Amino acid sequence: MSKKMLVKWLRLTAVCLVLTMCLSVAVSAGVLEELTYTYNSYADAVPVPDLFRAVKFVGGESMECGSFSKPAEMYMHTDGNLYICDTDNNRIVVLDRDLNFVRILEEFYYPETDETIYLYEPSGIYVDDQERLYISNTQDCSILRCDQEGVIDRMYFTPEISQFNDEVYFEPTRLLVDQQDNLYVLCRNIYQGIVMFNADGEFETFYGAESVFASAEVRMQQLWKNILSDEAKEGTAQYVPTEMKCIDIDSEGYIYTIAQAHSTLGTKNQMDSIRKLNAKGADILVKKMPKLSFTAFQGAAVHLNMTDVVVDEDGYITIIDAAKGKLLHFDREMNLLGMSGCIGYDLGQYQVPSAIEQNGDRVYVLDQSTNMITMLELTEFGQAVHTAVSAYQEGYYDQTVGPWNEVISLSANYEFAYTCLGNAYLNSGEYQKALECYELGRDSEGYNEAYKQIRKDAIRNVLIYVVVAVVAVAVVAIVLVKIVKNRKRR
Amino acid sequence: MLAKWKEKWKYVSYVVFHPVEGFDEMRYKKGGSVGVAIVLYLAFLFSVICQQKYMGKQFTFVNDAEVSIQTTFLATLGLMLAAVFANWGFCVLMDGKARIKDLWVIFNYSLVPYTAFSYITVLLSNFATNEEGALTNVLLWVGILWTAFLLLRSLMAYHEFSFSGAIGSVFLTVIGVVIILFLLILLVSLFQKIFSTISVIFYEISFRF
Repeated sequence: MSKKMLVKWLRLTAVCLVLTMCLSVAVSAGVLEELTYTYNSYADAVPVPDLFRAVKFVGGESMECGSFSKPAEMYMHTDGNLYICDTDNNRIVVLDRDLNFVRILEEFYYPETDETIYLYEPSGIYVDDQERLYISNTQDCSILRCDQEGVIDRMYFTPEISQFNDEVYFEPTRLLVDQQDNLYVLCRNIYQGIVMFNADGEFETFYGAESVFASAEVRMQQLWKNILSDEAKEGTAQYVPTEMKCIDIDSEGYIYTIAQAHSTLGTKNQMDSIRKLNAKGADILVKKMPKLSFTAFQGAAVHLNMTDVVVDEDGYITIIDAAKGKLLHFDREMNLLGMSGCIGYDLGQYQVPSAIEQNGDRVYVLDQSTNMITMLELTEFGQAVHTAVSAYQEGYYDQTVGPWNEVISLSANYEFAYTCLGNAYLNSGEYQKALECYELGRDSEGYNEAYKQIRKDAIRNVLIYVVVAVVAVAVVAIVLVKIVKNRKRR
Repeated sequence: MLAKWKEKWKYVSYVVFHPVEGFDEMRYKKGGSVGVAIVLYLAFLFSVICQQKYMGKQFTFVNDAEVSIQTTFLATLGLMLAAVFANWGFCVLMDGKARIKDLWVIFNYSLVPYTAFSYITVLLSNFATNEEGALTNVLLWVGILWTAFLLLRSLMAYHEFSFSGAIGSVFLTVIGVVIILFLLILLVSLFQKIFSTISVIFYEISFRF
């Protein structure tokens, strides 16, 4: 090969290389879409536009505080401050709504004993309406309540009950405070329920215990226990409810919890571990998965590992899943609006998401493994869905026609929108339109209702002619019969 | 030719509406026709497909991707043939007199009420509400019971069985069908394995050269 040719080839190769590099940069810039999907009633996953778009992805490295280390929990206060429990760094980091650094809380002063208290693997934080911080000082077996300056005005220690002993320590993790200043705490190794302290800081009760799922194995055990002697009974395995993993409270004071679901396939549905508790601690989320959220999703949910839940002011429930890095977005009736995200290191992807918080139209996801916080924003589509769902669930059906049509114009695949639009039309008496919407939403129950009305109207319209026709025929027949009889007489 | 064909069809309605003497007469006059039975089978097949695809939307939304004419065809025909052979096989041991051809004929003739009522059900389901679905179901059950009666009666006539003998032969037929299906599945999986072995050997050799 001549020298000229060689140079030519080298040039060509270089050009190609540069081109591919440019191209790969362009491609990697293009894959940041979240790929949201939901399920239709045929159990197929259907892509929909993104409800949330990841806009920011930051860690402690870029701030004054330095990198986070295994942050377990965070709390978004209504004033827009984000409090992060930086667990392995034994500190609380405060960021603002746009994820800019505000300050660090590391030392706490306790006036009662005049000592400085340090955190020891804190893994739960809550800030109440009076801006008081509640911090689970997990390895120190205590909870401290302090003001914004770190001056402690109350400490919660191990409650004096038999459940806490030499074997089981009081290890508080996630916590929250309700409007009556009651403190609800999840504790490690405690299956009796949420530990509840009253406004005076005294142990009140265990709240909202999970029930043991009666699988065949548990039933069999019960049968055996009837037969066995007392000594033998002690040797058998005890079946206890599973621990709760996360807790959140909505604006109406209902408490949401998610428990570790049974891993055995087909014994208990993963969605059943999501509970909405009333003041008595009873689960009021009866329809965990209405028709629209689909059997398919129940099937897929078996493999989820839901680590945190957040409920916003309008009752939208967002759950983060650590098994597949998914963000699940539900409305207050647990209709699946969409799910997005996956495991990865890119924007909108997660490794071990540990906590989720929201503020207005923003959702924040904390990752325990990458030590990063992802900020997501509600998209145009998400806003359209929220507008429609909110109006719809407050009962203003006639006002939902516009918003739902807006949603459908953005995503023609959204079965849920068609069904709700059908309901709106049915409510306003436009049965033909309702029928068409139900057909597109594949809702046979709604279709049945609309069809019933249409048929009723049709029969009502036709009935008058039928009656007239019958009467006319009868009159003619009678007249004819009489004429014939008269003729016979002659 | 056409007159002969018409003559054959007369037996269908005669048998359906007068099963007690109809099947006896059809047997002695050799009135049953395999050709007519094939047409009746096709009508039955079509009614099954209609039930899968054209039920009213008030009742269910059909996923078109799951309706397959080929599968339905193979399933119904396979089941029918399995029932014919199983019944013949057992009833030969019980001194039944029917031939395989006769069984194919009477099975399909007996299906006529069910086919008819399922068409009616499909039609009505498009005009009924979900609450009235119970009534259409009742109609379908009328068809099923009618077909069951025809089947028993025809078996009695063609095999020269008593009533209890006919019922016994139906039970044995069900068992026979299960056995046949089991053997078929076994056979299919065996063939699959044989072919996969052959193809693996083929690929191994082709990769080598």
